[in-house]
Amino acid sequence: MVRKPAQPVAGPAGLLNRPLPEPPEGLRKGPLREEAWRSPLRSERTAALLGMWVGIAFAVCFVTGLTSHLIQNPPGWFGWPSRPVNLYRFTQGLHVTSGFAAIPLLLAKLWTVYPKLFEWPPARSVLHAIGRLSLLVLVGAAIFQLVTGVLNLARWYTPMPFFFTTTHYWTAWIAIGAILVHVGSKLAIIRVGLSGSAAEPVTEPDEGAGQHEAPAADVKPPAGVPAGALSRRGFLTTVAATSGVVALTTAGQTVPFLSAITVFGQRDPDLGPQGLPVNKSAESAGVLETAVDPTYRLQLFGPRPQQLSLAVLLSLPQQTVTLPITCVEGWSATAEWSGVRMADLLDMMGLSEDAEVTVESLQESGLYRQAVLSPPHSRDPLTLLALRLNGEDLHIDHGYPARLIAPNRPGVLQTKWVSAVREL
Amino acid sequence: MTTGRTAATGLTLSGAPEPAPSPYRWAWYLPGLVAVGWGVYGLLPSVQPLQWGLFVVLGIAAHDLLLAPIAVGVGWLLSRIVPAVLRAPLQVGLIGTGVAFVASLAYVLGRGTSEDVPSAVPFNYAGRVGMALALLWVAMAGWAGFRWAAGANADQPE
Repeated sequence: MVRKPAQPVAGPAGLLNRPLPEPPEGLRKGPLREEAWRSPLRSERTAALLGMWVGIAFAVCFVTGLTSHLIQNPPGWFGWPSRPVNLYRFTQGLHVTSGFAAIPLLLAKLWTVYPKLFEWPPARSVLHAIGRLSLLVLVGAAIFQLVTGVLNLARWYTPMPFFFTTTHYWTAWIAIGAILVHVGSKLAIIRVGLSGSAAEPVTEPDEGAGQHEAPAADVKPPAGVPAGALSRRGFLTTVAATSGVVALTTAGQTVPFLSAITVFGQRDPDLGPQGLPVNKSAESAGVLETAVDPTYRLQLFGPRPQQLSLAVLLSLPQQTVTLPITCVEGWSATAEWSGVRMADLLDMMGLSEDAEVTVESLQESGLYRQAVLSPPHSRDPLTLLALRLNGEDLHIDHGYPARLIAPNRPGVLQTKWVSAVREL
Repeated sequence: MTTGRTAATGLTLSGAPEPAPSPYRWAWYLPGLVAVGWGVYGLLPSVQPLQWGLFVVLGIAAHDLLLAPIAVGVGWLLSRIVPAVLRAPLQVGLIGTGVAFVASLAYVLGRGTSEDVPSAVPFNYAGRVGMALALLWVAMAGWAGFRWAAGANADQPE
């Protein structure tokens, strides 16, 4: 294939685009040889379609992950509703499911463009070299996000010498930015690939083909595909189906009727004390003794400060609500909660309708030992200081003697072992 | 001012000359570069850059020097030593097996289990992955058998 020289360009751009000396042809061996990569499955069309799917999966992950981050760290302009009740359950379930679904898509995309790693000459110009090096950011950040996400779901933190949440969040910006830059740099070739007008791959007849001719009904391979092997369409269908199966076998941790076929999910929504999974135990929170201390009092700090024993809390008007507990790790499970309406407690404290409070835990330390509770969640009639779960006293791992449960809110903000509610 | 020759264009995966860059590329570059810059700005005070960089490089190396060569090698072997009639079912089976291995490895190793939270990562992941792969390979064996039989029938004299 003859390369067409580009038009001369003046100025710094011309300097950057000036051809670099080609390395000796004798170095062009092994995978660097022109004829080393012959699979006709690798084409602009395959790369463009897989790239589009990877881009969609990462975009969904990014938007849903950003949403979760904003809910937990809300800037002044951001508001998150308390309804619909299952909105966060949907967005965070989608985050994890689309992340897992992206694994086969990314692997297939990288396999498709793998020959470009051995492009000859390795650098045609300074600009070309910069472009190739920038791919390290794209590939590195994309792999980083999927690997750390999977490690987090498997709760295996030892290989990660950094705080997962923060690093995963900031690297997501790098990954999505690198994807945008890559799309920009490949826009013309993506258009060719998606339009279906891409040239057929340059291949030679396969020597091993033809011993056992397969029926042609399911595959019509383009020139160069070994007989009986997957066609380009067959390959793309296989990758898409694999991605779909991975998504289905992940979603069971939040979609109950799929839990029986869970393979990549972190939880069974029905498994745990009182039929509900636990994320942090009383033991790891260090509250095994304080949570069952008979002198327990809920402290209310506001215009009318009060201390309420568990018996007093149980004597207040009780409400029962059905709400999901939704973890940032994507799993969720619905349960029946009973307790005191938070709005009633805030009224007892003498707080206004728009007041914000912090809900504090008996935990003495930890990132989530307290959470801010603002309208609309604080005044939503479904928001409770829960004392009972599924008709029983709260299990200590679910936050005995009292825990926060509110609609459409991440589990890490549903403070357990509540010791105080304080006006902000 | 510099003028003169410019580097030749590269080749696409199909071996054709790469088309000229799109005039709209900057509409993607700008938000992309801003996002990358914002990510780096937030990341730098949050992590030790060397640790982050090492993790990234190891991820790339694991793919480029291990996973990809294995996939390419297996594909090369498959196209040469496997009868044509078995190739597509084997390809599908191997793609599914490879993905299952990569996606489930952290679960199967079971390093994230803890005694105080038994409801976390509670499944027998090796068993579930094994069951899924068994189903996949049974289906692929059935497909291969069908293709073999269809091929044999096609060879029968009329």
